[in-house]
Amino acid sequence: MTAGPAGEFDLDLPPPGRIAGRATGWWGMVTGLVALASMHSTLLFAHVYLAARAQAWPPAGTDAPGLVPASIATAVLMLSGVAGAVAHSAAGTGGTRRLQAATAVTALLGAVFVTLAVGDLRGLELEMRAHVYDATFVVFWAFAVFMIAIGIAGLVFIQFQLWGARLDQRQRLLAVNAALWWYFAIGCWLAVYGTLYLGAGVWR
Amino acid sequence: MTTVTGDRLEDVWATRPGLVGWLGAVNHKQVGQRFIATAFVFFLVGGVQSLFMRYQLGSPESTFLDPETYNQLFTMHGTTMMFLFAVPIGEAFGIYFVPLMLGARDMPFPRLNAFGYWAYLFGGIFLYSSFLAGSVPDSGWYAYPPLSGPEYSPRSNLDFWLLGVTFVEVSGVIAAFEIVVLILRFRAPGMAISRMPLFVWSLLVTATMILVAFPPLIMGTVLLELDRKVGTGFYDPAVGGDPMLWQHIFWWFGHPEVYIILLPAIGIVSAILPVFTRTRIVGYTFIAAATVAIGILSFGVWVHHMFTTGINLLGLTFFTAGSLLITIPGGVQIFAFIATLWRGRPVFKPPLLHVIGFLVVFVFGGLSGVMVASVPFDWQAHDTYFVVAHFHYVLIGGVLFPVLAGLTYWLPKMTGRLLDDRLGTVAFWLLFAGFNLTFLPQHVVGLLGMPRRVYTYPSGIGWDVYNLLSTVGAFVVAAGMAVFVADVVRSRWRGAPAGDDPWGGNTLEWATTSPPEPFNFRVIPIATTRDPLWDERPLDLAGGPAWRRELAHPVVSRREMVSTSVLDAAPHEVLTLPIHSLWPLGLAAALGVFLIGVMVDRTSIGLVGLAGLAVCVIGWLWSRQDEP
Ligand code: HEM
Repeated sequence: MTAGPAGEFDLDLPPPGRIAGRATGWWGMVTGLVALASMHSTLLFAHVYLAARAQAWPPAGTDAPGLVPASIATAVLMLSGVAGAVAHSAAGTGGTRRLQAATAVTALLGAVFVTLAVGDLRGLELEMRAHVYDATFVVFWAFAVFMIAIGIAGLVFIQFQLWGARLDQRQRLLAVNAALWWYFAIGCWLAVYGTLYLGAGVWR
Repeated sequence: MTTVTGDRLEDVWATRPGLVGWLGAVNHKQVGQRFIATAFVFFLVGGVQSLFMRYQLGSPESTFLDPETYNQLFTMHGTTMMFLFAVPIGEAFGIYFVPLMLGARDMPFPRLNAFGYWAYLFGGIFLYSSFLAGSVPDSGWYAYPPLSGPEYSPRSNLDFWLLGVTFVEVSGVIAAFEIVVLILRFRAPGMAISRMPLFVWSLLVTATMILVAFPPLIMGTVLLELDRKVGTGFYDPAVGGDPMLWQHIFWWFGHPEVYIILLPAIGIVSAILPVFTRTRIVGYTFIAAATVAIGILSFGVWVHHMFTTGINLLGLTFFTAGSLLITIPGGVQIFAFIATLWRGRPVFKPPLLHVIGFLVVFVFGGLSGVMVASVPFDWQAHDTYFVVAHFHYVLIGGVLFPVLAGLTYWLPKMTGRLLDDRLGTVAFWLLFAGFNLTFLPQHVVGLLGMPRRVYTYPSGIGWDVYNLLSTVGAFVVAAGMAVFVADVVRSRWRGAPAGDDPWGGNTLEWATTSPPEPFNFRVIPIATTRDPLWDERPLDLAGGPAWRRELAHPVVSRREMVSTSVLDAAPHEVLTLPIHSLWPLGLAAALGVFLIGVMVDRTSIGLVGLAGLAVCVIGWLWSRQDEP
């Protein structure tokens, strides 16, 4: 305890690595994600609002999207989430190698997911101008997939930074933030999967 | 232009010389000052537009403006006042003063902060370039579809509105993000959350609200732009869309927006009142709790803007109750302010005069608000001048008077020069009298049936005299503003030196020089009470732990700041901040190019913008820019 003017609490800095609570960058990322989540929720709201008021949703003549391809893509994405969690823990205490491997696997699985999801969307042959169902579907879907694509770009960026470098505090923080982003992006996709695919029959 | 002083702290915090140094400045005071100045200029521009409108309405059947121009003017006036003035000015005060009040040296992410400013400036310019293109937005400040959709607004005017507003909203979200992290993580050691100045509380709540309320509007505008550019039909019933969706999204943002505008103003009032009544604020805890309560409740009242749209009875009842409920925390704050005035010994200088202007005008606006919160009354008054009068009472009472109070209070800190009390008093009375003359008669003419947004009216139906009074009042307001601006300009050269603490303030910004040193505080203050300067004068700036001495006399040329824990503000770690960066400007410019590409339907321009965005983001993330 320092006998500072405050008297009642410790004015000294805790030793590095022993800080109780989160780093500033963590707070920054979480705050940013709140804003993005609120954007994504608007699309969810728009979808539910329009669906609840439509006579049929999807409209007559449009089939509900098939579950199999999207479910496979979702499973791959969930796996990437596991890899992301490993990267997250490596970013906290692990070494460079583990972090590098885990981020690479996460990015790779993410890329597989994007390929599968894009293939699935193309197969649905939605026509954005024809009906608002198609437009809502595409935009809601695109937001989530875009978040995942940005996540992949972030992971690739970290790979570059880690090449031949020693893992310092800043890089660890960057990796933690990339992991947080990844969880968020998965959450976005799950909302899309839950409403557009699993919940497709609800408004029939 | 900077000179090397040999003092490492001064040298590393100095702005780089020349234009490049100016463009790349990232310190919160420079960014905050630019924000405040720009918002004020936009306010003046919006004010001039209102004069044109009032001149037109001063007499019946006037042909000074044609209907189309009138539509453009009220749209641009409303948009300017709401998006380019009222919200940014609150955040601008936050960016400049919250770090000072917290004993911090800068914002947590200075480059992002600078980007926020450029995005705001470019967004505003984008919106106003519609005048150059001869295609000015004209669908009102809330741009309801179908009027704003591709069918009824086929020209590019609404694209200017949608893209410009989105740009500005992005800036608002960024500033909010900065403010939240700043307040949670960079308070002076010892400034537990329960000791934060009320101004800081109000900004914390405002910024959190912005994070939840603005992104939906950004999304809503993106959807409308897709309807316009791609041909989707989110708001078009012909393909299953619904224009009411826009209203829900807009008012989900729009009503909290009213409180987003208002809360920083409440914060300014809470900062000024104790200093100008020479007493501690009454009911600190109640005011802080009421601020939080308003933040939460404001999300439960958006439908009250849509009472006439056929919402079912249960919904109407719920939202009426919500609208009335929110007056309770509002009332708590007002009573606490009145009690502070009552208990203290008021010093009637311009900052306090403007605060009293706020109390009177805002309470009046609140009362007419309670009237329109009741559904049967709203069905009568909806879209009449009664509503125009009501919201100007709320907005001018709730924003303009507090902003002027804040400027008269804090400008001496920013410039080191005092304003003139006599000119300030004249400006206040002109504004106060002119304002009431403008808007009081509008309640009557509204109840007589005059609808809003009409460019003229026939004579002989009893509206003439009220409109004439309104117009005279508007010009009196303009005279008051002219005196205020003249006072500010005069003080630059002729103002008496302010000294560090001209008012005997209680919060930490008065502990530093006027204008503040680039690093704000050489020795990081430690705050152990709510009014540190009243309880510990002079502040204890000697001794303390090693990091405190090292930050005062750094051994490396780095901009350093100490972060603290969220609740009790115990020191955590010393962080290094960027010094100078052109990436924020580049990023905002690239975003602007992208939006222009969207605007003029040129994929090539859009792609150039996107490429610029990618380059700037990578450059930004790759570089730390924290070494000289
Ligand atoms: C004394 C200064 C002001 C005057 C004389 C004035 C005058 C006017 C007038 C004539 C209109 C158009 C009314 C109609 O045709 O329906 C208007 C609309 C409006 N004003 Fe002001 N105004 C002033 C200040 C402000 C301020 C400070 C704000 C906000 C902070 C503001 C926000 C608005 C808004 C949101 C609208 C509605 C625009 C729309 O209908 O889309 N005004 N004002």
